[in-house]
Amino acid sequence: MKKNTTAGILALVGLMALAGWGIAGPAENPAAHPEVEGAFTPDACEVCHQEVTPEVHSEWYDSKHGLLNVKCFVCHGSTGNDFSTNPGADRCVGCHADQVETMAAPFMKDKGCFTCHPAHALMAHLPVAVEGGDK
Amino acid sequence: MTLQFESGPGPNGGPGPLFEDGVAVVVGAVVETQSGRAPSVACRLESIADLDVVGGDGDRRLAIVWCSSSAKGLERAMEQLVKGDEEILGIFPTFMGQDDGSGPAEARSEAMQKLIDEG
Amino acid sequence: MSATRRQFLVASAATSALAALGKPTKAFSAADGGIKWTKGVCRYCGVGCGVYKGVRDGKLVAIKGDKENHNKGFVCLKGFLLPQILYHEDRLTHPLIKKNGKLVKASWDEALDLVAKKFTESVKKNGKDSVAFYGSGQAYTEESYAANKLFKGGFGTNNVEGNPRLCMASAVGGYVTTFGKDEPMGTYDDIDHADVFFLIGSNTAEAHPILFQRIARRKEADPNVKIIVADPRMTPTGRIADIYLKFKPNTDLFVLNAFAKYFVDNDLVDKEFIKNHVAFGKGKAADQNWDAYVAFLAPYTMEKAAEVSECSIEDLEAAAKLFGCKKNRTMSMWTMGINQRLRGVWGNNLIHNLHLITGKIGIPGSTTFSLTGQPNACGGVRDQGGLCHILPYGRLVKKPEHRAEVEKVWGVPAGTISDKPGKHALAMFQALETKDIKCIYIMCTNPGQSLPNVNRYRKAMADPDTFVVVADIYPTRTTELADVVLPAAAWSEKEGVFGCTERRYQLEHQVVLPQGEARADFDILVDLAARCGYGKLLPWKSPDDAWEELLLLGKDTMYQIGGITRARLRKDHGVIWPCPTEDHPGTKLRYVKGEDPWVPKDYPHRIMFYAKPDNRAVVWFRPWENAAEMPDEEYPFFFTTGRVIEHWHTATMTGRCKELTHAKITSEVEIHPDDAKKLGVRTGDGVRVTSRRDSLIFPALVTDNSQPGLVFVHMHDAHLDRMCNRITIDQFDPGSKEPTFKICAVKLAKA
Repeated sequence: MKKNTTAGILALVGLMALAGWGIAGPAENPAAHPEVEGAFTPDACEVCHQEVTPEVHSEWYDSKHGLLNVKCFVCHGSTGNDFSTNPGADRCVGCHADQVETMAAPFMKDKGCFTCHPAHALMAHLPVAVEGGDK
Repeated sequence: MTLQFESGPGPNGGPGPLFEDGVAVVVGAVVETQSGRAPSVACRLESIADLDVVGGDGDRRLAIVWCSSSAKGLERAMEQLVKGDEEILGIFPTFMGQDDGSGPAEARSEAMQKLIDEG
Repeated sequence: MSATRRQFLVASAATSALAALGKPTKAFSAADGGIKWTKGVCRYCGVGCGVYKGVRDGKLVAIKGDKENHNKGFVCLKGFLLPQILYHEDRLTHPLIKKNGKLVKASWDEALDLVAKKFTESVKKNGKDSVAFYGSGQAYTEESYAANKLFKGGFGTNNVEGNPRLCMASAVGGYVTTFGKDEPMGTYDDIDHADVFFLIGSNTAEAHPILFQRIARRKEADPNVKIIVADPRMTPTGRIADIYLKFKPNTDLFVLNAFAKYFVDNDLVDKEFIKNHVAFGKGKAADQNWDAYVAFLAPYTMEKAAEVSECSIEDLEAAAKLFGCKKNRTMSMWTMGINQRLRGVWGNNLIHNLHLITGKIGIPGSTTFSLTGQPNACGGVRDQGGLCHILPYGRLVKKPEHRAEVEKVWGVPAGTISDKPGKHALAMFQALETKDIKCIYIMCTNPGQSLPNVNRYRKAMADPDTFVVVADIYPTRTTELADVVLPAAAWSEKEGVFGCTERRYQLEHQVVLPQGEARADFDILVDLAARCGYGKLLPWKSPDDAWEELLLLGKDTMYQIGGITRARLRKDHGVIWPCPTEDHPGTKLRYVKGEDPWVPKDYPHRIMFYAKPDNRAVVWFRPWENAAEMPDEEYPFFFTTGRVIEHWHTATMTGRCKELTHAKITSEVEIHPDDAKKLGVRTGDGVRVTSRRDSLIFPALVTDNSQPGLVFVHMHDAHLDRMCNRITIDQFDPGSKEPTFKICAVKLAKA
């Protein structure tokens, strides 16, 4: 009985090690965002991006993240070298820990969460045609 | 307070030397703390190099893994820890592995065995 | 030794130690990616979201939501970025003492001996009431309790206040006058059952994002759910509104009475409920009746309401109809828009009235629910009795039997606690100005920025003849005025209990060490007490000991916190009081039979307002009246202040988070396009805002979210040139003594 318990926990420790989904690490793509300075800058990323990337802004604004005020910097970080064009799963984990932890490995290597949830609109379920399924 | 083991061959009925000098070891141990103080003790333990807190009951026990290049040094460090931190009541090794190529060695005290049986 | 063998040994060692633990909890056991996760509570607002705090190499590195807590795994953007608040280079890491006008490094002994000497000398020379404590709804309950006990039971003064006076006092006044005891009767769970939400004076989307999300999810789940938002500004909360009542500032009390009249005129009242559970009152006496109430409501017609509030009568009637419709379950929520004004308590009473006359209370989804701004204003200050007129768990300074109960638990001689209520927040700082108070200890809050008409009180704090002690984690607009600055341990560097909006108590665990020489406020107060000769009064080794005492004080009161033991707090993801025993599940529907342990099982009705002597909640007649300072010819604009989602309070923490300051920090003045046109200003231009107190220049943000005649500035900017409280007025609600941050009069000019 005792042996079983020990073996069980050992297996658990192993699993936890395997599942280590690396919250750490700098973003892979450090393409810097220009620093935003200036005393009278009408702040907030949205103000500028409504003009420079209107589609991106409206995709976000009309999404759940837009409605709930999950703003640009939550995923993309700050400006300058802290900015990340392609955020990693570490940015999603705050609210979606279960989903990140249970993500299948192949997705991790690819575009992570954004393989299925297109950036900015981030719909919960992408309507996909299942190959071999009913047409 | 010093390391608390059931009576053994060492001074004051202690367990005798646990480790050979100059041998690198990996030790698993349970740290017994004052009631309710395990989380804050864990914070302090975390600041020790090569010491990892791997679990806790949230109240008075912590599971740790401590690696050291010197077994003797580790034993001394444990003693100092128990003496120096009034919230730590004792450290009970449950496992010891040496890097001399031999397999893992169990080093479970009778007291610890009793705790396990009760748990 | 090969890496593989070492890994095997480490895994074996871990397994062996874990097996010996018996039942490991999640704490410290879920080691993934080298990160250890410990449950805790968010540091910011009163929603009290459960989080897991991720620590690696002795440093807090990540946050994720706790899915077993009420927030179901979600955190807002501030919460997600929490780790940064610990590690900014500005952290105060050693005590400072002002010498020749400059704060210089000192030892703990030097600093605390000086504080002890100044306070004890002042008590001896100038009397007990010459010293004061000003605390915070952000300190842990044990910390606020330590201060409360030291000052009321040690120094013998009731000059114990805290910043909840600036935000929640009117809500307390509302609950106490209407229902007999403080704190709401519902919980967040009501959100999942409501058909209609009435959000008034609350920008929920920015101030309480996770509750806003829960409301949005409720609406998503059932498209028949309707949301009414009433606010003079169109805020992001309006995005989910079915009806937006953009009323003229200060006319909401009229609208609330008009709703009540609409219910009466359209037979939407619950006569049976009124007969069994409601009394009527005017002024301070509950000696009125239904007919008098109907007569009182007569002038509050919808036509007049539309005229006064400048909302359309169609919208007003549609809102009232949704609220009152008998089949609808209605949940009201409000915050500072109702509380921070001359008649804040009345505003609270009027909202409660709407629920009482329609019987929409104590049914899941029907409740009157005040939202709190701070993580521990409810548990730590309101419940624990950390204000000048109260003692722990609903006791009053004025009542001899209440003082005696507390003195007994404290083991102090009868008569130790003064029978004279101390000075409320503004009076406290005014007494500092007149030197009636000579020494003040300020903990975990920033009155040098947050008090209204702040110039006046900054001057009083800076006066060399007053002795000001400030304990905080970063330099603030208050530490710069202090004589002694004590470096405090931050959230996660210490342990203690938070009690959030819904009566939920939760334990916040320590996961990292304090930085530099910083110490937990609890330790500092215990040490200070000993140096003042009150070591026996605060004999505790850890916050656990103080909690034991709090359970003693709270267990036989209507708060019934006896079952919320430390052991349970360590294990559970929050417990909601009343909770008399350790196996009690906690109470979601307060005052309700079968739910609340205080209601006898054989009580003939479903609800019992037991905190009132006749078991009847009171419908108060509260008229509409003007604000403390109304716009006039000279100062023609309403000036109002509030929050944005990126920041929190005076931005002591959020202002040191890179993303948040980059996204937003500068206070702009939100101005309606009509007014902007008249002034000739465009977004980005400077606008001079002048009140009778001071004059400041803010960049303009022209937006039709505002309304003509109203300007708004967010309250977070700590820059001296844009500190909105240099403009605000220090008038207060005569009942709750809560300042009227939300309304004053200003004039505008292009700068």
